[in-house]
Amino acid sequence: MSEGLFEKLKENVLQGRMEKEDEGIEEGYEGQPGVKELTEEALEKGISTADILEAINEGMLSVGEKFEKGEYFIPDMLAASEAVGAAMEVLEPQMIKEKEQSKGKVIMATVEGDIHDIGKNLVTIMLKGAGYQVKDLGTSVSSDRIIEEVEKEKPQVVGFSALLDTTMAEMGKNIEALKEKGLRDDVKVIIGGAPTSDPFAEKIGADGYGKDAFAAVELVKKLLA
Amino acid sequence: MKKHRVLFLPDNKEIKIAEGKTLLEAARKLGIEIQSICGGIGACGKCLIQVREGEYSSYDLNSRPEHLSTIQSMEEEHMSPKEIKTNYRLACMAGVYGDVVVHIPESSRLYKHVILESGRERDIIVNPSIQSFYVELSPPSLQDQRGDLERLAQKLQDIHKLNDLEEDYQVLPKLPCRVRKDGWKVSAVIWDDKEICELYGGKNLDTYGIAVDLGTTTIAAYLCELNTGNCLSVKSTLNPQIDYGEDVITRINYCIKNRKGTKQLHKAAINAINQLIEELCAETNINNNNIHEMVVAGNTIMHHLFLNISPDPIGHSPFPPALKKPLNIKARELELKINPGAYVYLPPLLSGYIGADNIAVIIAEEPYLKEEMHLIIDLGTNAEVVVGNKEKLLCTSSPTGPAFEGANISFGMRAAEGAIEKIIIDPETLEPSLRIIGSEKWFPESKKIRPRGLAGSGIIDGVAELRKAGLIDSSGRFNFSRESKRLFKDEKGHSQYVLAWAKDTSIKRDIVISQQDIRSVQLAKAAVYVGGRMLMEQLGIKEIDRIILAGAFGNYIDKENALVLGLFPDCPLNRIDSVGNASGDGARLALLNKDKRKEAEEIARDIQHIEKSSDPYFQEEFFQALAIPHAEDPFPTVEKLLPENNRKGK
Repeated sequence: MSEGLFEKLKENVLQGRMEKEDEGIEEGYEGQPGVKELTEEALEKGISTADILEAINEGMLSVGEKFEKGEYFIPDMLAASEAVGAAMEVLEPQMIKEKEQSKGKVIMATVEGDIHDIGKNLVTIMLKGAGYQVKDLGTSVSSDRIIEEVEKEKPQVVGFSALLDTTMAEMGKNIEALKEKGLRDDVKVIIGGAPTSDPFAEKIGADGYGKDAFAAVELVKKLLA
Repeated sequence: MKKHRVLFLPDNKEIKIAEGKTLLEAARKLGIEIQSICGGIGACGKCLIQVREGEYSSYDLNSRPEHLSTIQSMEEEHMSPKEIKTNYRLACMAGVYGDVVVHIPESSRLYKHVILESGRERDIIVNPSIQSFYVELSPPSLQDQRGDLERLAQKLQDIHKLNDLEEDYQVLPKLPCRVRKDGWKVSAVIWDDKEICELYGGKNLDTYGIAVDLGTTTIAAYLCELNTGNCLSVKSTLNPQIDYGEDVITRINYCIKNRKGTKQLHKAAINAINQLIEELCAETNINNNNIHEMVVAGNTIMHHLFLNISPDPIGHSPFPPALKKPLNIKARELELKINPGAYVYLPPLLSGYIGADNIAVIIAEEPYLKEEMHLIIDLGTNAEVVVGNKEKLLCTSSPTGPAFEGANISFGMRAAEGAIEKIIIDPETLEPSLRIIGSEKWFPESKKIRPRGLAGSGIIDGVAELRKAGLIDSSGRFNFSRESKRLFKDEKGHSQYVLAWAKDTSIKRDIVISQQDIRSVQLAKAAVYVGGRMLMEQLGIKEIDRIILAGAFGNYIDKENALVLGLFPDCPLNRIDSVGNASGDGARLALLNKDKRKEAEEIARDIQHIEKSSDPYFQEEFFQALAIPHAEDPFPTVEKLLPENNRKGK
């Protein structure tokens, strides 16, 4: 794709702009084409969906870097992922034509006894934005329910979230339950939430820990590579 | 078992400790207080210490960093590259596998800090449940062979209309002696017109009681004269349960993980309260046996631990308490050092996260008697929010996280000496002035006390002042078009604003507000804001007539800056009241006026508890409330202070 269009697409993801009339995160963008228009333009020019997705992905990586440093915050991240969503809508018919497959399926759940879900919801949004199929089971999800869904949906990854020191132990229980049912080798388990950490993930035998929604997406990419 | 020596400097205290124990445990055993907000799981980074390398011949001690367990990546997250290189560790993560000398930096210590003991002045109606009645009995004779107790009960019935009295067992063994001691003149201490708790020979009408505000962080005890309602003395202390975790969740977790955890925490609370009782009695010269009642108000977890009830189930949704009803329990059952026959009253609880402390705040502020629409916020690691008036009251609890208490903030600390409590940033020069606890004057004009960190009120001021000076925008992002030598990115590319340069601080590091700190504050303040907003929506109201900020923290907050930050919905400044320790006031009211207990019990029955997370709009509301002051809601009271509305600030 032309260098200019690639950069513009990336930049507008970074600015969280879906459409022409949207403001950017920084000033002075209003009226210029947004991610939606740019994607349409790219398709018209015969650029492949893979190349377009590459530009979008690079944009999201920059968003992730800024988020990591605190420069970007949740609303900025949501704006960027909405912009990506707009691009996906444009790309979808083309992708079906090209028979591009979904990158993989992820099941997300806040563990039993915990009702905090904003973190988990952000991970869900980001994963969808990154092209994964995500089923969100909601909050206080029992291990029985998780087993049931894993058996039914056959995801590649299951993600567990907890905000409380007192509920994080449920994650280990869920992993044990997966083992008991002989499902553990079929799925990768990722965890996240304020009290969790890398050592904790290791301790309970999870495949990885993501400290925020971006880290979670990177983790899933790495695990499914 | 193998033991190793640990020497702490500059305290110069040494201990031999079993292999594998952590430095934090070693310090605790010696009574050295180190900050540990996360409860020792390596998450808060507050227990930073430095291991010394070398031969300490005067102690015959060879200290090596490798004598500690290897450093973990989560420890490194809390350290600068320089700190990692110079053998800094987190005391809670470093296990002892050989002799070590450890230096504790000033910034990691837990200092005696400022505790707010008195709330606002209030009119108190004195109608205690304890009263001492003096009666003169007729001695027995062959014609009148009633027992001593029946003789007393009959007299109390005849003169004071006290029917069907029961008696505490302790009265019985001393009964024959006490009635005869002063020629059949006795004083009976009666509880709630129902029970004789104590008996004195002769005239003794003085009765005393203690109200205890049992907080997660601090415990305050008020000794009151029950006849007059006078408060004779107030004592307070840090809650020693802090050693087991700074907030309620980490303490519940401690109880889940340790078989004797509940008992340990129970003992810690009881011992601390007994210590306060002793101090109160010593100061006022009152015999602790003359203390005939006690009221204890705390949050649900404190309440359970005080009673030695396992709080474990409250750690999981739906967070059920073991019980909610009000209780009267004999002091002797809890081994409290007041009169053994005295009752301890515990107000009712509302839920796992809304406790007797909130009920105490409500009976102190009495929104249920008023026309004005109230918003009451009790701010701590949890913000308990009440909205309503005499028609209806709603309440909810918002997990704010510990940002306002200094955790998750790079230089956050408790309100102790050296903590920055107020900040002003000049919108022209972009230079800050700081008020530091322990000093009367502003820094840097006076450098008598050097800053050590940021207290909660300082954190709120800091972010609000940055916003007013245009150094951050409404999204909370640093605005680099405002040029100041204090605003820059560090070697890792993290933006920060320097409040005090290393040369001026007592910790020899720049004290800064980082971009991440601002994010932590935004998350915390949005949780509080949304708590109030959701209850307002539930009631269908757009405006609040009066905002009440309860809790010690509320007293130190700059109201205007709290509005700039968007901590709560807009309200004219003269209608925002900081009432200090209203929970302690409520406990005192319940001690002095038994009708207040009835009110507490009625509130517990009638108030409607709203679970926020079940509201589908919660998340959307929360995201909007992240903006400073808010993405949508208007803030007319402070609008003109924001740079976009104020040409001078640009």
